[in-house]
Amino acid sequence: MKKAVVLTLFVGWIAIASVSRAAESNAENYLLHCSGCHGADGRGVPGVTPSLHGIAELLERPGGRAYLGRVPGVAQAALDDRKLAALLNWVLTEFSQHSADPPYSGKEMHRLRKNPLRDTVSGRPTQASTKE
Amino acid sequence: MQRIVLLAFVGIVFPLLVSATDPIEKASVATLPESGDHWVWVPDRILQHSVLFDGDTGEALGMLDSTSTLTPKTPLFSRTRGEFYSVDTAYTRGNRGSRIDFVSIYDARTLGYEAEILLPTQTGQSNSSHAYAELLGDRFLATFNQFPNVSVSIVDLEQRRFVEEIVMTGCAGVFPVGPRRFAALCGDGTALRVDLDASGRKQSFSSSPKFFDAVTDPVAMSAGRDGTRWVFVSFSGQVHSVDFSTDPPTPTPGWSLLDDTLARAGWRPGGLQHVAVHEPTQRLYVVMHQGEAGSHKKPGNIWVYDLNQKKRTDRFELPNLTAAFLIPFAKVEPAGFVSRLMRWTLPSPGVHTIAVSADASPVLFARNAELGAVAVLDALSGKTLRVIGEAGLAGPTLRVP
Amino acid sequence: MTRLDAWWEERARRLARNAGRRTFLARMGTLLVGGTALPLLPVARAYGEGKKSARVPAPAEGFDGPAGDPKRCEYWRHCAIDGFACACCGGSATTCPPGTEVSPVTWVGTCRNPADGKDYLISYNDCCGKAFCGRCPCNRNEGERPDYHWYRNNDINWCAGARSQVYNCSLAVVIGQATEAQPEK
Ligand code: HEC
Repeated sequence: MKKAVVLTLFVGWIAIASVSRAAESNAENYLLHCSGCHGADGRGVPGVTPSLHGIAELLERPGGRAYLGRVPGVAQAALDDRKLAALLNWVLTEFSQHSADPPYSGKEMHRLRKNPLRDTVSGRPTQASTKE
Repeated sequence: MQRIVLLAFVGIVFPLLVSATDPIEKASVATLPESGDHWVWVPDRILQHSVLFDGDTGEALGMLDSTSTLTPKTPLFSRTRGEFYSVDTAYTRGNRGSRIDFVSIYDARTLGYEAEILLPTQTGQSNSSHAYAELLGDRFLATFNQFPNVSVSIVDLEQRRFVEEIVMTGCAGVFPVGPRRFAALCGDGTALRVDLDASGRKQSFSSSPKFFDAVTDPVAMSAGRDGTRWVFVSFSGQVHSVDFSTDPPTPTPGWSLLDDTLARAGWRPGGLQHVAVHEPTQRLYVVMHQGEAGSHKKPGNIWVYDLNQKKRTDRFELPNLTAAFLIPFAKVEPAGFVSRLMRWTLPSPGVHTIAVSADASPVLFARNAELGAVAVLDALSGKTLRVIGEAGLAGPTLRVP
Repeated sequence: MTRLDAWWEERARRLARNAGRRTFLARMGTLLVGGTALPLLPVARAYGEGKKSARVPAPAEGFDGPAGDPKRCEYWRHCAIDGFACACCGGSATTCPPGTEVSPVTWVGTCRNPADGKDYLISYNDCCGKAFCGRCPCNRNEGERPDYHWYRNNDINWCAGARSQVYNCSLAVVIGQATEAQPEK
């Protein structure tokens, strides 16, 4: 019984520690790969770079999920598929308090970033859009 | 007899009559001769203009001003239209006020201002500005924009108007391929082919397969045109020739500028405009230096390759450009002892930038970005033909019109 | 052009909707309470609503030699600087010269501090609104990449978003500690 408690505590501690470590590396990756343009606070610069606050709303639009993975700032980041997926998931919860359901996986990211969006203006999903 | 009288009148009396009423000389404005094969534009980032030199004489022919506070984009030339174009950025109050971006049109014989075309987009500004403003043919001019959108603006020179902005996020540059086609390099290691319709609007995009890695071994923006192909050179010295006549564009297998011994000795390409191609002889010129990761903008010496045989054929000796730059400032006799001493003793740091003329007996121009002097070499033999001194103060680009 | 304008406008509206929220770094603070802290330095502090993050190991500074001197190209933070070092222009590695403006858009890379052997995240903000400073021109390119990999490019004029995009000089601001060097190195 005691052993079980210790084990549970230990596993719990590992879980918490690794979650916070993952959050840290996401935050660090955000600073290194995204913050220069979108700002450390994710608010962007009006008329120059978009804010990342509230981007989760795009997930509800047709093609929105793919769009977030194919925007070149994301797709062409110098991160492997898994780390990039984790970073995008983190950006969504951090700035939109909303997570993708299911969260982006490395596999999905691999598929999406193979085909980066070039025309990000007409390719951005609109409410009525059915574009992929 | 009558004739002799007439000749005497024309030869002796007439000039006397004229000089009695007019001054001996009269100020006037020069015009340019028919454009020469060995002309070169030398943009200056400090003096904010580009000077046109004749490589055969070393003489300055004229200049075009720029309002850009970074390196001026090199003037573009349309022989058919008889015009030079300059893509520029200005502010209403010098360095503040509201910003305008525009294309100025100059007559190619008078260098006089003719007209301007306002751009609703913000032209990209960069130190080296490779492939930032190019003519596709004689009708369309394309400028690369960075903020807020990564895009290319198309300008119709026939109708003298802005056509449209083509968004191509994640890519950079305008590498002309045909009158209505250009290419760009993209961060996923591919090249993008952009086709325009007859009015200059975007018709289609087509991406090449991946042929380089932007993180581990990127290709430089400085590249050489070989017909419908562009020859790109990577940081480590891999040569990637991409054919844009096909849809999608076809990269040919890469080859290396270096054998193992040279690579181990640290030789690598570098500079600011360090790649040039002479299409008729299939020569590839690359500036090479001994360095390490991160030394890709260091100056160096010129190595010559044969694009067909994929091997090195020559290495060119460079004249001392430090001395050529400093001698006019030192106000010493150019042919005198002190000048000779300067040429002999001053360190010569190599060049960042090269450009080759397109004719059958080509010359190669070379400069160091921090020195206002341009070397003119025979592009076939490598012999130094002359050094143009007082060629401004600094600048990373050159363009043969 | 209207298409582009509408596109940016939609983003602006969304930004306004979110304006009331706490800032990212205030919440990063919460994050720091848990595990080992992600060090946050000057920029982070600027966003941290005046609160200094307590557990930030600052990089070693002021050591002897050119690598410790912000007026030198060899200064450790200048490992990928292209332009005039602001410390020679009336500013410092973290302050723009009087009368200029810090570019809000910038690029970020890492440099290793030889004094503590650690990698730091460096933000190379440009100072804008006055012409070339003209002093201490530097051009180092460790981990720098061409324009198509634009968030690691130091040739671009990063004065976008400033009132005037006229380039004056470049900063090298430590915005955090890095667990490893940037992938381009
Ligand atoms: C070099 C500047 C730059 C960097 C670095 C950058 N972005 Fe972006 N990002 C942009 C711009 C500009 C846009 C607007 C669309 C476009 O043109 O790409 C954008 C758009 C986006 C969008 C879509 C927003 C919308 O409302 O449509 C997302 C999401 C995004 N970026 C996330 C990221 C993430 C995550 C990173 C880091 C991995 C990142 N970006 C790095 C400049 C950048």
